[in-house]
Amino acid sequence: MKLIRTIRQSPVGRLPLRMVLGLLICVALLMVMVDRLDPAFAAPAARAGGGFGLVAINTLPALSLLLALWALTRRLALACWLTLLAVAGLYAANAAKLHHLQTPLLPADLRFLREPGPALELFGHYVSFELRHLLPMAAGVLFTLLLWNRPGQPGLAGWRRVALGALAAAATVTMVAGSAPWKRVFDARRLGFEPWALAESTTHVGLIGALLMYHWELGGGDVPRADRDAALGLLQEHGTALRARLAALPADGAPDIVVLQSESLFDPARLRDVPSGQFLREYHRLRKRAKAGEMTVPTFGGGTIRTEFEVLTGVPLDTLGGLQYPWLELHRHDLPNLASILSRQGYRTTAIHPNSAAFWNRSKAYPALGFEQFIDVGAFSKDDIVGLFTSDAALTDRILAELDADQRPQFVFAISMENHGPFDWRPGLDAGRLERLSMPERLDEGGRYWFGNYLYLLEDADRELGRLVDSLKQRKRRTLVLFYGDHLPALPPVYHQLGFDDERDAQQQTVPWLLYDSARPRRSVSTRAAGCCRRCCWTPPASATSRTSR
Amino acid sequence: MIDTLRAQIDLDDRELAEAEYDGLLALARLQLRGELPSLLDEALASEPVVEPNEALAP
Repeated sequence: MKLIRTIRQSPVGRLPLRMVLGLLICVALLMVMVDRLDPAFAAPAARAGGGFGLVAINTLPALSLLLALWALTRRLALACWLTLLAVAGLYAANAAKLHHLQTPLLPADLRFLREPGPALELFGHYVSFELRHLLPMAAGVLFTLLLWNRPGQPGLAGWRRVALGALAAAATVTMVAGSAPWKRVFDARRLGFEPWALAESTTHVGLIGALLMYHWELGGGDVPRADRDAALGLLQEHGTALRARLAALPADGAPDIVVLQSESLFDPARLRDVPSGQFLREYHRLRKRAKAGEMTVPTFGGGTIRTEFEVLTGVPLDTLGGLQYPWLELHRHDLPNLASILSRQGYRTTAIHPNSAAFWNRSKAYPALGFEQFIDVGAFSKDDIVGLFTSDAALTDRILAELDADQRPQFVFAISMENHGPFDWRPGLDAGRLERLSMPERLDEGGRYWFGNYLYLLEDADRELGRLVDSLKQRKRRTLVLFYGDHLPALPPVYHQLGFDDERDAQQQTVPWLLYDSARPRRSVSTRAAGCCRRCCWTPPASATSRTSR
Repeated sequence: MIDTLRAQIDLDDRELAEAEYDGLLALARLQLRGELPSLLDEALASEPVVEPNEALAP
């Protein structure tokens, strides 16, 4: 009784009991939702020890949202409902990303909300909408309106409302800024958070906590500081060899350069029961007259931006302390890269990508990187679409047109789009061609559907590589072509049913690359076995992460 | 530069020594920060060996 009297006499106690009880119930609901939906808490280990504490700290950011909405609306039930919806939406987006890309949600993913149009257009292809979904959606909207129409709580008015709003704002601002008390609650060392191992960290910390800590670690938007003395020591240690090599840099003329990053391209012969040379025939034909090999890429199933960044800058993302989406997360884009270097050497620099220019923030990043022009999907006709996206044939035509558009040496960086996922839904493909595709007998109907859609589009990409090189051979001007896949496609049923020859996971597989020089087409193949160590690999993928093909 | 370092440091068959790892990590970051050419000049000679930002030119 004494305790109850004490509570009643405190400021909290003067709040109506129903409000306090309502708040406690809402917090409990949020905790149950976090516990049930976060993959980190599905593991028995998390439930066994420390599970409650982790759930509680993952609920804290949601609690500050709840308090803010409560102060704004003066309706606790409505604020609670909206917070639950927001948390559920966050976990749904995380589940979708894990399903397709095997990567958890990142703060940078939320930056798509700044320009949602292009993101919704692309990701909308991955979402199926059926009429039966309308009923729960309508019920949700009606329930929201019902809660909105209830009168505001009279007990939450005046200074109480202002105080609640100030409390929520202070909590949110200090949390986002990473103030000391919050960093003690979300202690990276204690919780096992490592930004360079994001997927693992999310399973230790929980999704919401990991999002917050990742934001603290990498929200600054700058390239991490470098240990200049360590770099100096390494250079001086190998000074003799470096001096000799740099003094002997060839002073060739300026050939045209085409870098073609092919969407989702890998050699299906890496899969069991798929014979070598059955697919990518043009690639295998050309590699006899080019330098070629396999390379490690920093992404799987999506995240084109990551491979694109490494190729353009020559810097692996692993060296940037966990940074995931450079054009979105780095505030500065004037990074030394192929476009800026070649531009200073008199090249006309062109980027071509038949997707929205705003996607991945390329419309801002590319000009800063040194591209004179960026040709996006707006320059292509809807008649150029094959399946869901602009065809590789149209992209080849555009590359060839740009090469002849100016007397200056040309640097064209092209990223294809036709073979972008999803592969479980692909309208508009030629049914006859799909039927003629040869696939392993072991694949069931579902697997054949996914694999068939992919192989159909892969054939197009390969054919266009052959056409591009054959066309460049007719030009008088010397041209270098660098061709490579950006990552493996997300084909879960195919990988599950077939597996890979080397018994590694899909995420550990490599993609092919090829460097063709139109002036030296008969140069002998030189694919020395190379690669990078597990922890450190700073090398342009086309040269240093090459591996001899099987 | 990278090709030369690859030839000098065996990246394939062993874990890097701490100094090598720290050095390579720093080189990558310095390249992105645009500070590599001046460091190269300082490390290798009194006279410049490369033009600014040409360290990774093909």
